[in-house]
Amino acid sequence: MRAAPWLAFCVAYLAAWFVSTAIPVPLLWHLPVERRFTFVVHPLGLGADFYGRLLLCLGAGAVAFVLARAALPKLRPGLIPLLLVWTCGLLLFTGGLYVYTLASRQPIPAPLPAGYVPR
Amino acid sequence: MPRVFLEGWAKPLLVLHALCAFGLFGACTHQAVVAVALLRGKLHLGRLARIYAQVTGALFAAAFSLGLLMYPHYRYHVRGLYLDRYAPGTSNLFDMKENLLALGLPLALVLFAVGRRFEPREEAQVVPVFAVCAISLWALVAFGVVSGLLVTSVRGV
Repeated sequence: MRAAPWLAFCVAYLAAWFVSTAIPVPLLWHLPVERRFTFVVHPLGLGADFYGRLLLCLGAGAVAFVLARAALPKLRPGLIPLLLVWTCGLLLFTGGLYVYTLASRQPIPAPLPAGYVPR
Repeated sequence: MPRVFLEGWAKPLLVLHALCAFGLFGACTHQAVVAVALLRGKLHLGRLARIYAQVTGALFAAAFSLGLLMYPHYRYHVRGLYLDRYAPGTSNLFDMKENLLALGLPLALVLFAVGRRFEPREEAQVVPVFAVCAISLWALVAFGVVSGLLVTSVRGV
């Protein structure tokens, strides 16, 4: 049963990634030009939500891991296949969501700084 | 020109990131082959499974961390100024790679945590867990390596 808490981590991590992508939620955004972080749904300038989303999902996974580990003696053996199915389903849904969304995205370029010459 | 985090280190970080990724792809491929053999009942391969689980976990952590370190430089100088303007398809391909590999992080963690003490003869219930994680991670890493090469061929750091 020692795999159960780790699979619970997987399920919570992937579910948090899916939900935070499908629903606009406030995240920690890194603004690389301004070299700072901000906690918003979407910043006005150039930003990266990757670090914030990763922290959110690692946090969700850690909570699920701790809860599953605490409940380990009460867990039934049939839980491992169930968690594995949920892991596969969430992996496919979340991956599919990104492929579908990004396949047709029109990115907005950052304004060119003065004197910029593309190599 | 604005300066971003670790800008001067982008090239050495990219080389290290690529080396870790190639090593990871090799380890993942071996691990996936072992996982298929375990599913087919070759339960004597526990030692190999444990070794590849540890190598894969360590290399995934190294490649992922290096990617996180050079991401601000990529986000502004490569994607923001160039790819989004001149090669939007490549920009989208990189974002697919970035997010799909982030989905592989918990799988690598499971493989490392569960696989390093994995004894297939005594833990038959863990064999499908190991196999699903190993094969899924191999597919994600294979996509990541190929798309990483394609993106870098359009615009490196």
